Amino acid sequence: MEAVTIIIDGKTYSVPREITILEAASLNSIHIPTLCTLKGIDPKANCRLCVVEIEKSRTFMPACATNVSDGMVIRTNTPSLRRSRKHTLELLLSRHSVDCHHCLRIGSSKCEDLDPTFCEMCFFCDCVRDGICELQALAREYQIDVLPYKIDSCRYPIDDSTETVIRNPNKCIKCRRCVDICCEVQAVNALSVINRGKDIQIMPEMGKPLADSPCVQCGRCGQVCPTGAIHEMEHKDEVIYFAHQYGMTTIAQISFDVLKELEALAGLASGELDIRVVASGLKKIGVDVVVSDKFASSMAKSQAIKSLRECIGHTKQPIIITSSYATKQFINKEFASFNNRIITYPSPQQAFSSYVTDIWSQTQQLDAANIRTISVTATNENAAEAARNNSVDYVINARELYRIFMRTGVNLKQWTACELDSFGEEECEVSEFDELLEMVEWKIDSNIKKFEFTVDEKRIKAAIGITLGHTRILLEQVNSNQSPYTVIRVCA
Amino acid sequence: MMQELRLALRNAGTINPRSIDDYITAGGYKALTKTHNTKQSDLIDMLERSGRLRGRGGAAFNTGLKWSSAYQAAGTEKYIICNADEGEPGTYKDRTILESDPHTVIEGLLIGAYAIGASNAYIYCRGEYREVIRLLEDAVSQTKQMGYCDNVTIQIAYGAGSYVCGEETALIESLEGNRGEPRLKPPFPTIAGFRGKPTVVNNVETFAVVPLIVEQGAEWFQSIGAPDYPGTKVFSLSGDINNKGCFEAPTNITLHDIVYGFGGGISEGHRLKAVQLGGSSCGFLTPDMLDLPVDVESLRSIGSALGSGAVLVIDDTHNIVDILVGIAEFFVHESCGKCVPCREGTLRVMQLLKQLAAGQASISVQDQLRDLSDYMSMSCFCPLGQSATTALCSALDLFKEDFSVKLHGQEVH
Repeated sequence: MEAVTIIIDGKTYSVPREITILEAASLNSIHIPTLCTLKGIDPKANCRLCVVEIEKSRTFMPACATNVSDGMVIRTNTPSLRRSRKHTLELLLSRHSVDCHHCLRIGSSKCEDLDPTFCEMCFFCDCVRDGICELQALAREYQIDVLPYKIDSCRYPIDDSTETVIRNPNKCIKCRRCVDICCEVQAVNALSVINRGKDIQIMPEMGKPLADSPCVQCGRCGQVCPTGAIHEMEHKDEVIYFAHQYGMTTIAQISFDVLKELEALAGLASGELDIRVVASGLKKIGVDVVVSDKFASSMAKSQAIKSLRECIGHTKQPIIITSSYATKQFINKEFASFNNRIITYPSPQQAFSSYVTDIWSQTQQLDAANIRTISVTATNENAAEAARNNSVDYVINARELYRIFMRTGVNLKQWTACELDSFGEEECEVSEFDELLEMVEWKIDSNIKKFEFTVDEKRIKAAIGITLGHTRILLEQVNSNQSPYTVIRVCA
Repeated sequence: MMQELRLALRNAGTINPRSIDDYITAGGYKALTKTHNTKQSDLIDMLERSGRLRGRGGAAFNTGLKWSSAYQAAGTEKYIICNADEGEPGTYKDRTILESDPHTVIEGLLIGAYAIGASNAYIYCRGEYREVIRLLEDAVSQTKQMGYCDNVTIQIAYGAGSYVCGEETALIESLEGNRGEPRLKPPFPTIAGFRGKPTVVNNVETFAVVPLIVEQGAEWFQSIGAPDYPGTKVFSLSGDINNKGCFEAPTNITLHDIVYGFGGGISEGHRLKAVQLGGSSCGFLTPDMLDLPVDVESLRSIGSALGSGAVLVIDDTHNIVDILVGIAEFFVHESCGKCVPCREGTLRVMQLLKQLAAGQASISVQDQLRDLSDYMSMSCFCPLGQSATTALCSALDLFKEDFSVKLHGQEVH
């Protein structure tokens, strides 16, 4: 690719043409703050935090949306830029419910008012993103202290109609990441921008509650939200409560996919975190039994293999298979005619829960009523399944687990590992469907995975839809009889 | 004193706007026929170099340059749009032009469509101008019947009450059926505009004079008004002035002639305090600046702008802070809410000004307002936010005593 020469903060760099200033800066480890831009999505330049000075430009320019050009002279951190960013943050924070750590018990947000004897056990006080909030981090970086404007927050009701994805408009900074994800990547089109100017809000069309919208609770909006405006329903109070209760057995399953996010949150290098450290942390807060998801995954997988073997070669139409609850909801809402056609197999979380209630409780001679199952998983797409079908009692994602650990003094950087419990040896059957059923990671800029495999000496064309946007494309092909695939696995 | 010279309004009051025959009798659609015998590049060349017609919507961009950019852009699918979403407070020139002579605008639009090679044209009209929309629809169907637009489809679209849709990229978004919010530039609309295709967006007044330039030639047009901004401008007069209304004059007219000549001065017993030229997003001028010609370059030299040609006259019965509150309320209402500085900044400016107007502001309010203004003018996404506090800034410089009166809780009379 052709290169251009640019000067950032007095230093000369050679960078590819056709990239943005933000990309050029990050290639060279220069930090420019952002709140709205998302890698893989067209920049919107809404938040104006990434503004930079470009020589000969009348105004500041957004780094996320301005392409580099040869000889461009860019400054990223001058006093006037810092003042501009500080203004932006002050304006945002003065219309944001700044209850990052607000104690309802004593009615104060001030650190010095908090009572340390309660703080360890009480989880009612803080914002779901306290400590892991992008707005809070920037407020600290830019030393926002006294807000010069009339504080104006907490005016809108919280939407908890879905009981899994919670929308708190009072913390929304209108960056629109969630809208981009919901409409462009997931193609669910549940969230939209309504009203204008100061009254602008992000909510389902016509201001409906999420439960009455096309929302399928995939939870990807919460994943990209920079603040606590959209998040998964938390269960940490219940988890802590039951973990401590005598006569109650708590059993947790840790999915391997949480490790990556936990590493990022705890500031660990990739691959540095051992699942046994996480297990040990859970045991410290009182969880009695901690297993990994290997056993349940292979259980789920063997069910999927069984169903696949039954129908491959027996039907002319493409086989659609999924284990994701959000995807099932999506098909139910958008492609109702497929309802009877899709083959579902349990998610590791479902397999875990049924194994615990049906088999493990018997072997341990425990009353199922005295068992609480906890699923620690990074994929939010099955939280709604747990809430609707009561498969597991509590679903906890990496962020929530990290917050529990922060509050209970589990420092993942220094914690000692312990052995995992186990349900027994998992059957590691190698099958022709391994590639089809392998774990996929949801990514904004991922593509539909297309491949072929052999069953009974026949080549089978297969596709895996990683996002709901892919799912829509794949199913529309099936709908119009243009699908080239024999097997389609869809995820959310 | 300078006489009125009507180009865009040449048929106003003399023909029936509902009759295409009247317009043809008055010499209409001759230019269009002449155009069809001219090469596209020659036509654009004439406008660009010799004609130097500059956009009358406010930004004063060279029309020919815009056309040639779209003409040279790749692809065969091109669009031309007439911006009739007149929303600038105190501006009603487009409405006057369209109500009195819709065909001159349509003829200009058709000439533009031919020049850039567009087969689809739109007139995006302000939604509140119901009568104008009806008039335009009739006029377009008459033009169709007479066979003037065989190669071009003209459609009338209208806004839903948003000021920012007068900004060309927001207008295009709205026309596509999206939220009326500005787009990132570049790419500019002449490269990728409506439906991602090359698009020219011009103001009503710009299109209205195009037929005349084609007919009478570039040299003739060049000889009128100021050399850098030739032609005439339609001004909309309002405020504390005796003759309120629209009139058209060469661009080398002075503000003094506008206010005391056409405007008939201000009422007995009052003094002129300020003139806000160009609409709410422009600054104030004091009586000692009135001798300047109003062309774009002269005004730019004193940091002002002609804008859309609105002339708001303010006499000494007003405290400028009260005027500013009205302007601030307008921008709070019209901010689209996309970017933080405009969405939150306009709100805070309004709150602070209201406090000041009510005599409840703290002494630091002027610094705070100045700070916010500087911030918004540098960091907002589009010109709406960047210029939302231009009036405030110029008032802070020019009318310090009005602010101190408000700070100390007394009214002036």
